Amino acid sequence: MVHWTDEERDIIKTFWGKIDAEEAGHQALTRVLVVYPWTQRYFSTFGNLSKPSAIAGNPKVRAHGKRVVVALGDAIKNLDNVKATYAKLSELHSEKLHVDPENFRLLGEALIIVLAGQFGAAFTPAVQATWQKLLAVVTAALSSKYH
Amino acid sequence: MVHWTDQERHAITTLWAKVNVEEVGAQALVRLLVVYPWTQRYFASFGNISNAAAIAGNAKVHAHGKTVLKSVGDAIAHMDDLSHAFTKLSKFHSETLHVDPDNFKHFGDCLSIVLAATFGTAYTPDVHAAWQKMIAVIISALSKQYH
Repeated sequence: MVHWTDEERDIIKTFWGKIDAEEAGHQALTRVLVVYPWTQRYFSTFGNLSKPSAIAGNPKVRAHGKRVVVALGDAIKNLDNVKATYAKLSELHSEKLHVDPENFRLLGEALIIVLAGQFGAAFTPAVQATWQKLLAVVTAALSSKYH
Repeated sequence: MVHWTDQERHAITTLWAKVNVEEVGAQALVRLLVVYPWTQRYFASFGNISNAAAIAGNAKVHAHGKTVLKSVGDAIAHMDDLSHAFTKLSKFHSETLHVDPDNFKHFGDCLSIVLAATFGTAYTPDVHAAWQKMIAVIISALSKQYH
């Protein structure tokens, strides 16, 4: 089981309270599709992803980004049991979506960049460390049902 | 040889012109030492780096951050021939400093985060993508002489 300090729990809850899931999710997914263009292979039904402006303006990207970050909220509500919380989601990503788990890490990195951009100096080294830990736990939980 | 588009060169050099080398270098190195604490092993001679506050206030950390970022500037000036330009620096990191090359990626991630925090919305997905590529090329050049 993951051990969270009181400080880490506090940081996660405080910042989560200030995050707009739709906006953060949209920006994070946009960055994944632009910075790591091979990930576009998972979104062939999303229409025009031919260049950064198309991706940023794509409503399906926005909707899907929102969905992903809203799901992050479930992990945050269940910090002591992320693995069990994400068991079904892990199976879905493995058996139906066939997403290479490396991409969970990439989305995590993109989200960190979005948070840094949004919060500036308030995204201190300690806050960065806490969010990287959270996203590592989420990535591990999402990967746990892969076989 | 790395192929750079005009857009990538522009994104990299335009942002670089606005970077405060001392400030950004210090922040990136502080983040490395806080978020990836095992990296502190390379800086035993730096005095007090026992916690996040000590690291953030440490004059040697600040000075070294500036040194590293100056080298990033050199890399940008030699972006068309970086493997060659960084031969000595790569050998130095391998044979004298014995730095595990994984840490180059961790530093690169911290640098990208500091750029996002500093420049906010100006660190757009395409600018982020261009810098991610620059960082990858630097990491490759720095790793090249390892054996």
